[in-house]
Amino acid sequence: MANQSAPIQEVSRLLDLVPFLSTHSHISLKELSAEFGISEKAMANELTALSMCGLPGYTPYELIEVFFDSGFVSINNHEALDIPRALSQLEVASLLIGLEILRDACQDREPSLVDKIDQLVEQMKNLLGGSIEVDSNEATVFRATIESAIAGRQSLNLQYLSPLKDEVSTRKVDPLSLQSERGHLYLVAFCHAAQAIRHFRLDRIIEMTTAGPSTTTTPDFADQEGALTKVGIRVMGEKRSIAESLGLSEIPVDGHLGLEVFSLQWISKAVIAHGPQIELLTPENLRGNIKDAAENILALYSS
Amino acid sequence: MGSSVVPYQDSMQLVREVLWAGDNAIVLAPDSLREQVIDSLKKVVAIHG
Repeated sequence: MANQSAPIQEVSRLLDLVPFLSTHSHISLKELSAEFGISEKAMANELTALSMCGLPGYTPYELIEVFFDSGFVSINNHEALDIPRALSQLEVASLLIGLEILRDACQDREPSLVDKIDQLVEQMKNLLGGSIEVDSNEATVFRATIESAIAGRQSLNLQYLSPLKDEVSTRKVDPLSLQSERGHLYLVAFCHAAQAIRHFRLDRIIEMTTAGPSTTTTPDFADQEGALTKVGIRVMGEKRSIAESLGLSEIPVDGHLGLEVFSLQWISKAVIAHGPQIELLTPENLRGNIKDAAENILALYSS
Repeated sequence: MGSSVVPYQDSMQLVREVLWAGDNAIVLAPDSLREQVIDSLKKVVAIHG
């Protein structure tokens, strides 16, 4: 038992004493000392210090009244410090959200933790004085399944929304890794249908189930068409809307920027859709492809 | 290939949507919108030629 405390511990204890005494009026000095783990003498000193505390003004009317001469402790005029020193509601809410997300992520990988998290969440909800419901992003749930599948070399069946084709496709994939790119999380996987590496944005995965052990030998990632490709573009139009359309945070003043894209088809469509507002500078062969594609569409208008 | 009538307010936005569809969609009418699409495509060809 420490008779002397560091100043910060002493202040913390003083702040804790007020709410405790407000609900344990006339507790004996001995019990109170034991509760806070200090000697009776140290507690008497701290109670004396507490009697010097109160609201600004510091007249006897504003100070906390502490009585302990009889060996039993009580306080008055303590309302300003009645709230237990604890997390603020915002802090509790933040922790709750984090725990709910953690629970979803643990469901498949660490089921033993789920009960413990649930208990903690229930306790914290009481602190908040109300309920908080967290609808965790599907991507969070899928992430746990993907990580588990990668670790266990399992295949996955996906229902995936392709915005390019505006269709939902069902694919069997062998997951390789998770990659974060411009604020989105991607599953990098060997797609059985395409027989190539593909990138799947997690928030576009509609459904995911495990599909047994992976049976394919995955080709080298770097050789695959679905790998990141560097392209250079020049934006000549209204930068804000184009940045939004391309998922960029900003476009430099001169309009020149380099992008790393997963799909050459996507960047080609984006360039054509924006007409004269975007020029693709590199790679050169893609410039030719874009020109050809635009001419093919133009031909449809002349027939 | 089928045809459908699409209401729109922002012609630029609709041109962009049609061009996103590539050779899967063309504007049949009105002529003004067709011209906008054609003009946009010609500029893409010129820029990337």
